[in-house]
Amino acid sequence: MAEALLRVDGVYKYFGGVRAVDGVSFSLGWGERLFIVGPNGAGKTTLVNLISGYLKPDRGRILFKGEDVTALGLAERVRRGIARSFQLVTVFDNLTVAENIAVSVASRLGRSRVAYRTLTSYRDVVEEVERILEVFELTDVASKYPTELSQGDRKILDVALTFALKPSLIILDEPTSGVATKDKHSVMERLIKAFDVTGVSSIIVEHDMDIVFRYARRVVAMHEGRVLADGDPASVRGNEEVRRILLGGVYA
Amino acid sequence: MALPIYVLDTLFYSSLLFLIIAGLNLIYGILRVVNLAHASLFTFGAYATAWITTSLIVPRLGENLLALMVLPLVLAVILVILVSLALVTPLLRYSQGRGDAFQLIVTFGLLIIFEDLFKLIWGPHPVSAYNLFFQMGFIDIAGLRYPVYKFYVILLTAILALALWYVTYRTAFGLVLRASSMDPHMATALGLNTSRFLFIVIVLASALAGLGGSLYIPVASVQLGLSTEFLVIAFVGMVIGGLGSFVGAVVGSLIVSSLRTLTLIVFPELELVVLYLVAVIVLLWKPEGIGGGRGW
Amino acid sequence: MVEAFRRELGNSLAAIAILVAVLGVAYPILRFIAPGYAIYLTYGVIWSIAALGFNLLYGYTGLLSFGHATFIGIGAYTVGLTMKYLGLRELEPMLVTAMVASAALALAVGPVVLRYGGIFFAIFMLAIGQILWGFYLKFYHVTGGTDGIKIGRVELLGFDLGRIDYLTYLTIYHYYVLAIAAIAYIVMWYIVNSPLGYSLKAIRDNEVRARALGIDTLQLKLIAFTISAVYTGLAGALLAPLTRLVSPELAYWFVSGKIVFMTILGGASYLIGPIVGAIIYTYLESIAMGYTIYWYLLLGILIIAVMILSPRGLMSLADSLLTRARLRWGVWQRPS
Ligand SMILES: Nc1ncnc2c1ncn2[C@@H]1O[C@H](COP(=O)(O)OP(=O)(O)OP(=O)(O)O)[C@@H](O)[C@H]1O
Ligand SMILES: [Mg+2]
Repeated sequence: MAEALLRVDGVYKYFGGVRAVDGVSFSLGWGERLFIVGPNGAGKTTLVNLISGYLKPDRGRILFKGEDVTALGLAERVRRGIARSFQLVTVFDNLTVAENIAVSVASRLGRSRVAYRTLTSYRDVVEEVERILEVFELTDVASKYPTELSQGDRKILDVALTFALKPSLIILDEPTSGVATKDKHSVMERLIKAFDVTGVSSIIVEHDMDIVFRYARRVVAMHEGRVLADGDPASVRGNEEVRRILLGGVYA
Repeated sequence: MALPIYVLDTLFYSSLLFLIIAGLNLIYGILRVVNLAHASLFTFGAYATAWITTSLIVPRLGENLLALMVLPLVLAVILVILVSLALVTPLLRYSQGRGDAFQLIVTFGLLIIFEDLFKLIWGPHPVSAYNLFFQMGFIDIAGLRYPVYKFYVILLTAILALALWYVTYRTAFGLVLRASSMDPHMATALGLNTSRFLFIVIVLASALAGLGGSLYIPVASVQLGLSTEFLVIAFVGMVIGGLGSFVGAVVGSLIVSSLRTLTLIVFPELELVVLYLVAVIVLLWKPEGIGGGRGW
Repeated sequence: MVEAFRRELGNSLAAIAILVAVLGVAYPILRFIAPGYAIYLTYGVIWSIAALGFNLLYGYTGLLSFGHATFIGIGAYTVGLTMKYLGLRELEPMLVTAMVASAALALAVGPVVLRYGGIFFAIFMLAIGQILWGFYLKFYHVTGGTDGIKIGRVELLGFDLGRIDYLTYLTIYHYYVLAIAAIAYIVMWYIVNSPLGYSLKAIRDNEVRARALGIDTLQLKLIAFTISAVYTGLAGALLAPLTRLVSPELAYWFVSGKIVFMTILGGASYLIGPIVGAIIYTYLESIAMGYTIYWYLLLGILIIAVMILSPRGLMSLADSLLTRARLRWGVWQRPS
């Protein structure tokens, strides 16, 4: 097998007495999509923080593209291609949707410091903004401010900002939280479609089992900082512990 | 000057600073507002005391020591509280939760309003009232004459600081203070009348500043611009001690005062520069300040 | 597509051209109808450069400085000291020196004061302003203390203006200042519409998120701070020949507050807000000072009133009036 994109190797993170992440290992291939599920407090967000560089593990290693990135800071990891969005939507509320994405594109192209030319005079920036708007189906709302968007569109904009960095790995922490139930599926659908078009790898933390089992090809189930099961949806669903702790019989 | 004199002068100055910083920290701790007009209440206390002393007390009661000690102080603090209730309190309450910029700009507006009110009421020239200072006399320390008044101020502030310490750590009100300075929603969560609680906090802080000004005036004169001078120095003390903390106010006022004494001996022009550099060093080394990080 | 990059009212080179034209035409008119007030137009234009610089930090980056008088002082004293000690009279090298000195100070203190943002930045700037103000007073053998430094007539673009009558000198100086201001406005237009400008706005809205997008926020803030300092330093240097006296008063904390107020009066979220605010403020001040010595009191009330009643300033009032007129007369609507 070719070298994995990401390898998480025996990683631990305790907060005082709380074992938030308690010896997690798994790896992720290029272009692969992974869902992480687990009850509240299972350590999902902490794990994601460890991978993206917001936290440093107490023990264990994180390898990305074959290199040890455990000691690297946030900015360095972003530069190497790990990008994430947050559980809460964070976008720039006083910039339009197009401007939001343009800021991110300009950052990727190393142009954030340019002061002598207008942003819109860069053909490449504008074209890429157009392409991203299209991929995420945001073209119609391009000139709106985020506060004028639906929760679903805000969430998608948030992910689009991350996506504009052209990462090799994109990490989403509960992208459908706060989105109206009826829109959850369409939000996830649009995200996944965008990811598939470009072939970016993704790790998606998700609470809604319905969504997970519809879109997942691989699922990691966590509980109390540990991995309970790791595999295709059917096998995870079949796992005895997962059934007891996570599914509560609903999907049995 | 001999060493004991330096020490005493340092303590004297840090007493005044403590009275300002404690109020700034109290307001910052509970309301998360830095009140740029806070030192103006100190200045107001100073002007009011000078005026009460020279226009009310001395003409009617003469140079009566007890009257000079008690009446100007009490009346000035009451005046300061009234002014605070009229101008400062409503504005601080209104600014709460409207962001740093709003609070800073609005309290700046208040600062310059005060500046002109002083000019309007007391004129552009320095005002003083040394009566109490001279009435208290001097004692010999290390062969030098030292004013009793400064002892009195140090002692009074020490007692007050102890009382504040007691309130903070030994009473139910102190518990609420500490809890809500760590989490602004705490007061509500504890089922408190938040509005009355904030009111008490602001009045207490204002009274401390007014008291400071009142204690300051017998040894010096007050003039326009005094507020910003004290504001900047007090803010440095806030940063060094730790924003929003009682211990921070004690530590901050002592450190700033000591540094000030040292630079005044060595190179007076650089007083503010040294204070500022120390604040920056503290900030880089311990961003929460030397005595801070645990709420009020 | 480019319509999706929205520009607020007045954010265009055309608007800047109109503004400059108005400031140019108004001068002779004022000279004719109210001669005493013409000079305040020059003052207003100079302050507008300072406020524009201040607002790159405040309106665009979200950093409130309560010490921009620092750079006014640096600029003015650069002119004062070089004239006094080097005998220089050509203004241009002095302007350049003032800008370089302001940039140097900003680069020296920026990495520290920008790190903590918010209240710390505001008050550290106030403290730095107080420190320098203290220097001007205390090192009086160099700076002349409260007496300050007298400024004679300067040479503009190599022309010796020593012999012409004073009113002509003032008129020439007005257009000289206006030409520099026009360049400053246009440069600022490029800055706020550049990738840097948008990135600064992103930092203002959410610094953590901007960092997560790989933007080096501290570095960008330092750039903005330096540009801001250069603008304000330039304004300080241009003030000196007009005030004819460089004294600590120019660097007093109150001046910092004045710059803050000009900006919010005009509207911090508009490119030309600070320009409008500076001109109006200057007239407000000059007229009010004719009636009362309690200008601080009035100004304090005004500051609080503007912050409570119209925190987005006069430009936002104009903006909403225009929008309403457009809806009413159906001329042209902003895309929504
Ligand atoms: N910074 C922190 N300090 C202390 N404890 C923390 C910290 N972050 C997380 N924890 C604790 O670690 C455990 C795991 O938290 P984490 O946020 O990773 O869970 P999660 O799976 O994301 O939960 P949720 O589904 O609610 O988002 C929890 O018990 C939490 O309280
Ligand atoms: Mg979580």
